[in-house]
Amino acid sequence: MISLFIDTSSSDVSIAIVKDNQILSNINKNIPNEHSIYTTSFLDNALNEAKITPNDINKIMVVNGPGSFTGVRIGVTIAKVFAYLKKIDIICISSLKMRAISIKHDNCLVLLDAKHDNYYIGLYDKDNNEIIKEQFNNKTKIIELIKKYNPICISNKNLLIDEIKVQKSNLDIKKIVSYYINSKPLNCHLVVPNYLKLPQALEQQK
Amino acid sequence: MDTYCLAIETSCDETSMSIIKNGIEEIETVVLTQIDIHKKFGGVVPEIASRSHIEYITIVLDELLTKSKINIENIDIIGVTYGPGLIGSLLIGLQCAKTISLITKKTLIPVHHIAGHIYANNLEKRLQFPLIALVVSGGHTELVYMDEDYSFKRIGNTLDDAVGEAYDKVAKILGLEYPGGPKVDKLAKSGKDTYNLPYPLDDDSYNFSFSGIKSAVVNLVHNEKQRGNNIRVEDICTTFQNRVLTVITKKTMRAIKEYKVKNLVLAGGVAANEALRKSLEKLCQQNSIDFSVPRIKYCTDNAAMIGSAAYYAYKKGIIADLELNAVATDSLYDSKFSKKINT
Repeated sequence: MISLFIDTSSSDVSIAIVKDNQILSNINKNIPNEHSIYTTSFLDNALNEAKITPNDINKIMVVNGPGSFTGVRIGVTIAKVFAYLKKIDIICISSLKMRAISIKHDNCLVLLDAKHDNYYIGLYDKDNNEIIKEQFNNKTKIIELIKKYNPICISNKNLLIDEIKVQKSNLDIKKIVSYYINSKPLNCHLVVPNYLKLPQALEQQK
Repeated sequence: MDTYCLAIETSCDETSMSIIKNGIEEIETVVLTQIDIHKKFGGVVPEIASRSHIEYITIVLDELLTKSKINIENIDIIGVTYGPGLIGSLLIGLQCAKTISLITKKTLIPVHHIAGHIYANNLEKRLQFPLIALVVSGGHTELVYMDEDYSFKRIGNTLDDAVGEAYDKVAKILGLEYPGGPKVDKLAKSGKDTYNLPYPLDDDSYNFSFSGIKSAVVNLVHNEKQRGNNIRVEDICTTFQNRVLTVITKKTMRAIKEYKVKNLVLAGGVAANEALRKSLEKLCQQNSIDFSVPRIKYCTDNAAMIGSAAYYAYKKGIIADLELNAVATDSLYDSKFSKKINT
């Protein structure tokens, strides 16, 4: 079983090819605003480095959000088209949960910057079950959650939210892949980004 | 040997894919329009457009391949609109094209959206060179000279609003539903030229300007309302359309004479305007040159025209690699891809 992992939800582009529980290739680069240019060529490089062809991929795991709308769409479009052409399924990965999965923890609060003092928020117990629904919210909510659950706080970069220090934590691709490998696969046509946030035009209408 | 092009166009609010053989023969085209989604906002909302493109991208691809009964492995080149357009929308089609190119190892061709509109005409009958193309849409009003395939020289441009934009804004002032441009054309048929509106940039250049006449309509409607007068919507449409088309036709006529062309080509969304088609057709008859106009369904955005343009770009060696990016604005005349050819 060979899986292709794609994450373009943050300023990093992360592509990995994982066979059973062994990483065949892994490209991870911080290229803010250049995902559109490089993601497909990184994918090409990852395949070459792993010495496999697109035909050898059995499953695609794509991070479908939340995160940068455009960033997420780049990875998800590539995943959908790849899966369609190779007639394979897609497993969607949460950009929040995968960070909790990557580390050992009791309660874990994952925060991703959503601009203007807003955050995408996920809170998980020690077995990575969701304590609250993943959501888009502000720091009042974060402070409330920290008081109530006393979690470790992590993000994709070091953050300081008032007095709260949020640690940058790296992805553990092996752990993420083995956690998700038995999740429900989706047909490519059904895969869409998980934005957690409406477009501005619709919010104004509300 | 035949060349089959898979073409992808997602620059605005249409998700479209097509298979074109040898730049002239349409095998199959699928167009999914979002017009009903954007109607309630009075215009295209970029974020909503991007969200819709990604939802349908593989569904449109599947429909195209199923209907055409063509296996993706039998495609020779992949043509994609890289710009100009809404960046978030362009990116979906671009990533789709790059992924297909990565998997099938087929050559990727970057196509300029306006080149596509011009080549919509090539699907009707082969372009005759030299030619003048009048490109009229919501984003463009240009006179383009071509002495051979995929070689573009702009001789005139709008200095402010595009003609389609002016039509849509006039429609909005008159309370017509989006997209209002075609409704102005329709209502103009039953009205009379009774209002006092200026001729837009009626000078010796090949340039255009429509913001003045647009403001004149705004002021006219405002003043009539202030005076408590009835606004004769049809008459305003007729007057506005007459002024605009008079200047466009006059400048186009001068261009075809000066450049001694064999073919006048009408391109872009406003090419669907009936009065404009008639006026230019007459002009071409009088000057004994060929007139090309796309059928109505190819006036709006579609991938068939991209597939035609891609074939001639490919013939000229204009190709891209996996690092092709989308651009919101790019001039057809100093595009990095055409430069590659010139130097």
